[in-house]
Amino acid sequence: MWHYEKRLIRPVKVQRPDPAAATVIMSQLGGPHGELGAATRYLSQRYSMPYGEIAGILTDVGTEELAHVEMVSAILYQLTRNLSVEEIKEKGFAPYFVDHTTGIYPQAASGVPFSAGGIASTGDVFADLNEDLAAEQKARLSYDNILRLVDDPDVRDAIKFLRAREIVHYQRFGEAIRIAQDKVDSKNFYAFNPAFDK
Amino acid sequence: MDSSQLRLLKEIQLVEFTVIEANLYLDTHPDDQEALRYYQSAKQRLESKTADYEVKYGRIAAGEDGRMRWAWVDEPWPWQMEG
Repeated sequence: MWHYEKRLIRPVKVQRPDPAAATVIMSQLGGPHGELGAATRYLSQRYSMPYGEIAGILTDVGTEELAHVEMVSAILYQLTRNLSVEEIKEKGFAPYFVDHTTGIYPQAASGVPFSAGGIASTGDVFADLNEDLAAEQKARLSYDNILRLVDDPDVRDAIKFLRAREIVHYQRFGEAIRIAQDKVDSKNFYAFNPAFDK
Repeated sequence: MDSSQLRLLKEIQLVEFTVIEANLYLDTHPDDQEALRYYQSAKQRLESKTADYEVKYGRIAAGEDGRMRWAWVDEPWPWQMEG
């Protein structure tokens, strides 16, 4: 089960609204490499993970991703505060605004709504962990692209924090694969799924 | 998992539910003094039962307890308990 703490995992303080920045950052909420997908991926995969250390890292990283969902949402909220209709039209925010006003909705920058089609939970230890490594790199590259598109230092600071967490998670999942490899018979590396083929 | 562990876990789940329920009630009745006392007493019971459980059976939340192992990773996970 979960508890909620009324605080962000890291402070978000964006002074200057910027709806154009929001249109790209929203991909990290509900896009194919976004935080909502990350949380859903890890918290779904853990049930079929037969090793305690790896069930633990999936639980704890998945939980942290939920805190990142909240942080990205806070960035989007602050970027779209007190907008005039002129700003909405000039800064390319009208296509989002027409359906959602300035509410927070999980979608990709392209406008495609959040989809579990962007994640995998295969029930296979090595398939899932390799998916997780790729997922952390995809999230990292999306944050890199956001940093190429956004200038405001307040926003960049928060995005840099999130980018750094992807790198740390990638390291942990790399260790998780090594742990899993140590637990299977060395003659059967990748030949069977230790979660199903006993 | 033996029956005394399951019993204590059930007590924790009961008192935890009390805490959550009081929490929600207090969200809409933030000045209700009786509810505040009710919450406080349930919260204390939860903390003492949780401490008791963790000494006997291992971690409920990630953390360190002076032993030479990060016991958070030890089984069972909640979905393995069936109770």
